[in-house]
Amino acid sequence: MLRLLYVVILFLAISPAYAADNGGYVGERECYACHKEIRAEYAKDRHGRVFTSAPNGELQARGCEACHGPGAGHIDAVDREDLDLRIQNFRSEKGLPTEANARCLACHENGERGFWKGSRHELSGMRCASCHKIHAEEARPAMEVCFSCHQERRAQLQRTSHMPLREGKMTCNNCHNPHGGPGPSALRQASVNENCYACHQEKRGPLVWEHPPARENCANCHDPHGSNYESLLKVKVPYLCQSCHTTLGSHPRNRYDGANLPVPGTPSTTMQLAGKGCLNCHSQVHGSNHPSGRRFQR
Amino acid sequence: MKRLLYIAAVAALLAAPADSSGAELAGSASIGVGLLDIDNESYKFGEYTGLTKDGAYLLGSANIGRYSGPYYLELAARDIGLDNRELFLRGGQFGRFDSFISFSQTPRLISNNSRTLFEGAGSSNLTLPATFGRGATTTAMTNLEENLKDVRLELKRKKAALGFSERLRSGFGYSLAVSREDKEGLKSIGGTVGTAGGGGNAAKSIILPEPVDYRVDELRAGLVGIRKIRICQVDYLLSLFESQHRVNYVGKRLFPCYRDPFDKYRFCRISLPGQGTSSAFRAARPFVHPTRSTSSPSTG
Repeated sequence: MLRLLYVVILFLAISPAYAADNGGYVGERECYACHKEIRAEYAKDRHGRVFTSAPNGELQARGCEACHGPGAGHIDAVDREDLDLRIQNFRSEKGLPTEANARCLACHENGERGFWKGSRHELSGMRCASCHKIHAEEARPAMEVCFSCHQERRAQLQRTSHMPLREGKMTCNNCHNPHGGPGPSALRQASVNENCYACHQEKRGPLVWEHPPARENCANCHDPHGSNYESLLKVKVPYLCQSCHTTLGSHPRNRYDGANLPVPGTPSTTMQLAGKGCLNCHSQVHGSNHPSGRRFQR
Repeated sequence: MKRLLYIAAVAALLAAPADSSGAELAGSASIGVGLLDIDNESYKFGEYTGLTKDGAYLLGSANIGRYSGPYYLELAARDIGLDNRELFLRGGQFGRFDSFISFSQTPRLISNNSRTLFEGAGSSNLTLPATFGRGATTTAMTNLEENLKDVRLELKRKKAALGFSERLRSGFGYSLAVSREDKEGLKSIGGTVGTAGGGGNAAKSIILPEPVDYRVDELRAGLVGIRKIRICQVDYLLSLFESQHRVNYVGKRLFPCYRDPFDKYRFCRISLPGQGTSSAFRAARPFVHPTRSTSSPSTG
């Protein structure tokens, strides 16, 4: 009995030293001794599959500790019932977001995450785990993740004129990269227009006659997140056009407003208020390739 | 093309990998029938799904993966029985390389209660009916109503894409993707009849059925280099846009024409998107925040 006690004391004396020699890493087996429920999930998630069968480097080969950090201090803290468990817990809000994110970026700072540093989400103190559930086998639907913070966008998508996000043909990620991008608003492309041209290539041109506000920014006239006006317009035509084209020029000489709206049984005397409004004539409002298309009529 | 993709997807998923020991099939698939019963056909109801008529629709979706160690083969399919079906097949090794092939189609139903005077809707040469009596105003067009024909304004996109990306152990990575998208159908466009400068009451307009038959071929290539915290990323995009409606009319190209119903001119012409080649190159070098430099010259 006494001999057994010596052995135990000797083991306890040696094991912290052994762990310290390894930088505090204790190995996955020690983790599973307590965290049994994680083991099954970990075996099926992407991290588990890579770390256990084809780790890319020394860090990934450490398994759980590759992300959560060395476990020796954690085991000590648990034994001592410390409040600070001395382990990287990604669900916890304790500690700086940059410290937690740095562990993810150690492997993931490439490709889609190349613009993370300096991105709106990074600067607002978001953690990778704010959106990602690491041990989940299946990811949450991308839009649900975005809408948990951006509720106003969820509401906008319910408007009558919308892109097919509600129908599941697009997600926020088609236009935005939540990890940051080279352009504004975490767009995937360097400018708003380049982003729109990814699907609406016919608007890209080149054009003989360009409409400057359309060339400058599609969002000058359109609200991509949804509108109650046709073609995602911010304001109904002709009022949208009149927000720039005032009565100071040669055309239009008068301002089109509700006074000339058609009433039942009587057509409007002003064609700019019927049908497509100003676009009845100026149909090439995005720009024209016709030699006489300077006024975007052809 | 679509059928070929389906066959390739299913075959790839079912085929056993070279080393199938420990391979695991996971995920879910569902198939069913949906019944649609609506009072009136409404294009707004099925704007992006194509659901406009009463009846039974096959509904199928799948999200299945086959995993063997770090290797994966995943199949995602949605709305297989509907007009907005899509299929996505990807395979590779987690963290090292990834390849994908995809097919997607999207309807866009605009209007099912529009009418047009013109014959040849869908082509780029719109003519007036032989019996139509032209007039200076719509009131003067005595048989306008009887010559109006129903026209359905709807578009359909079909896109196929494939790509490959790899991350090398040295810290460099590259990606390459090509895609072809066809967009065809009808939408509406305003056509002016009158002087180029408006001319007050002299200018009149008519809403025309605009033919859409676009094809876009794109190539995207990317190169990324990572050395500790330093990243340099270079992307290249080549986009070839082509509209099939190019008319060779009186020696002039790109200008489809339509007959003037207002008895003013014989023909009017309007430009439609022609063809365009765009080439964009982007180099980005994010630094430790908040500094970054991005350059994206493009030609077209």
